[in-house]
Amino acid sequence: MKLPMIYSYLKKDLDKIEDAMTNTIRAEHPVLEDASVQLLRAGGKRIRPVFVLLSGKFGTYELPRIQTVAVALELIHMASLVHDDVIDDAELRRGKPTVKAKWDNKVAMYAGDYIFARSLEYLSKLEEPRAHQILAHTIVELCIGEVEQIRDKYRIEQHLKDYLRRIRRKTAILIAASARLGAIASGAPLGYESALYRYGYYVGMSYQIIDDVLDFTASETDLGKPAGGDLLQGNMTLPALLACEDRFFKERLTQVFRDPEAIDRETLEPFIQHIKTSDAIERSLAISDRYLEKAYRELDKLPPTRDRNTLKQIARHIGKRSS
Amino acid sequence: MIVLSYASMEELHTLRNKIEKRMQLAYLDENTEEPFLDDNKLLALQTLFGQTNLPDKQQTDYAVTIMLIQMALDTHDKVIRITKADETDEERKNRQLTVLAGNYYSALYYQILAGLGEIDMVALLATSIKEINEQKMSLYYDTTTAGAFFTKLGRLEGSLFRTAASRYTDTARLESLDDYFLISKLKRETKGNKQTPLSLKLAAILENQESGMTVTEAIHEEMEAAKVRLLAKLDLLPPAYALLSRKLLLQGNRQKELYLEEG
Repeated sequence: MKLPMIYSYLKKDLDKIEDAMTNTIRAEHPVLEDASVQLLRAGGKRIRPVFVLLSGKFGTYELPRIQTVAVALELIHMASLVHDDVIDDAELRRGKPTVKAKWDNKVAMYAGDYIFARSLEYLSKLEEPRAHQILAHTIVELCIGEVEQIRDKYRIEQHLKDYLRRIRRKTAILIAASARLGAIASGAPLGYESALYRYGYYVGMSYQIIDDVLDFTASETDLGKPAGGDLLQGNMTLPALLACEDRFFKERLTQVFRDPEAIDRETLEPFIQHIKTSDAIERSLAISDRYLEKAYRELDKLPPTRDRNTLKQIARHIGKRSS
Repeated sequence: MIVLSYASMEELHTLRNKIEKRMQLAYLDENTEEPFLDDNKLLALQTLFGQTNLPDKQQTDYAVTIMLIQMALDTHDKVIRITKADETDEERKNRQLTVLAGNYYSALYYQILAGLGEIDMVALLATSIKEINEQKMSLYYDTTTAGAFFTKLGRLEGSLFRTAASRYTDTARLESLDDYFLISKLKRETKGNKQTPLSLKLAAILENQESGMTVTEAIHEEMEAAKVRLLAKLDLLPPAYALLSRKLLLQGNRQKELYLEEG
């Protein structure tokens, strides 16, 4: 089953969110408008709005209020992607040219800043200081996570906890915040809010681990780029870290990483192949499963509704996804 | 001699320290160019908030927040237009961290104001950032004249201040401060020989216009013109801002004339 099928009953609300996102990022300058909607048009899983909507179901579900949070969170995510493409010098995202590729880095910087500003302006309709404090803290952590990712590039001597802390900041906390803010916007009981936050956090951790595994195992067609891109950029993701438990592998990779500018795909191909065929993939997936188990346990603290079941199915889908 | 009693250098120094402390993130500090903190903008904000009934802490928090936004926007302006094909590892790291530094400073603005429960101020400044990016885009695609470019630049440089001021006063009386902010910006441009996004843009406009002027000449000419405009409108400004503007003008080559006017 495809992911959107799991939450197909939310389609009407998700369509309204999509419309609101389009309207929110309209700009006066034609290039700014085109650049801002470029990524929106490329689509996406909209997993953050889905978590906001589903969490909102555990309180008083009033769409205009929930929508405010859902739209703002997805736009914040989009703004960061537009800037990430400048950071990664990426040409394609979701199979479409990135803003920086279609225009240039400058336009991407202005569009990202514009979308971020619009999202905060839009979210300010929600007069709930606690929600803003949580989100602001999340965004700061997200930035620190990205800085740390660059700091840790080509650094072989890393511990599992370094990686986990990095993906916590990079991915998990924004998904966790989505689930939590949906609960806050709907006035859900505090116990539910905490359970939803932790559910989002665990699902987010699993999501990123699987993303990192897929970067080695998925086909170029599914990824939209050649496999092994993370390692090529010097990112020590979980499969690479686990593969480094093999001393010989680690020594060879250390030698290669000593001269980042000399690294090309051909140099790294044997390493990518080694990781793909070693037990590092299986062990990474086992760690992802442990997070998913924790996510399921958080759901047990929520009332047994269709929405709880949907959250469980989403977690299960994330655990099994192949693209 | 004009003395700025309402905003002593010590207060300015304290405020600068607070901003710098708030921005600290070791890896960014070690690997990116130090962001420029415009004292003239800070003085204008100090003057603005100093005239309100806001408690001292709130005045400081607002000034820190607005300067963080300014530095976020300025930092993102440093990102080069096209990534070089033969970019070195060091250049790549610098480009990447420049993007992230700007994002980090703007996240801090939201965090400070959200922490204070100042959601209205978050909205007000977000609207301003939105408008600034519209203006930046307009400036980026501007192919008209150097004069039109400088007018837009002055407007852009004064945007955040004007937004903050709109909360407390009639900003129509502060219109001529666009020249104050423009002079401050152009002064910075004349320091050092480095090519900046502004000088590159201006070079393209001048070439398009076939003006025969160099970038440096155009900047100096505009700076002098802006000083004359600002001096002519000093009397229209509220006294505190007139004083601030005089201080800026005194820093330049119209010092002599001002002394004469002061008697």
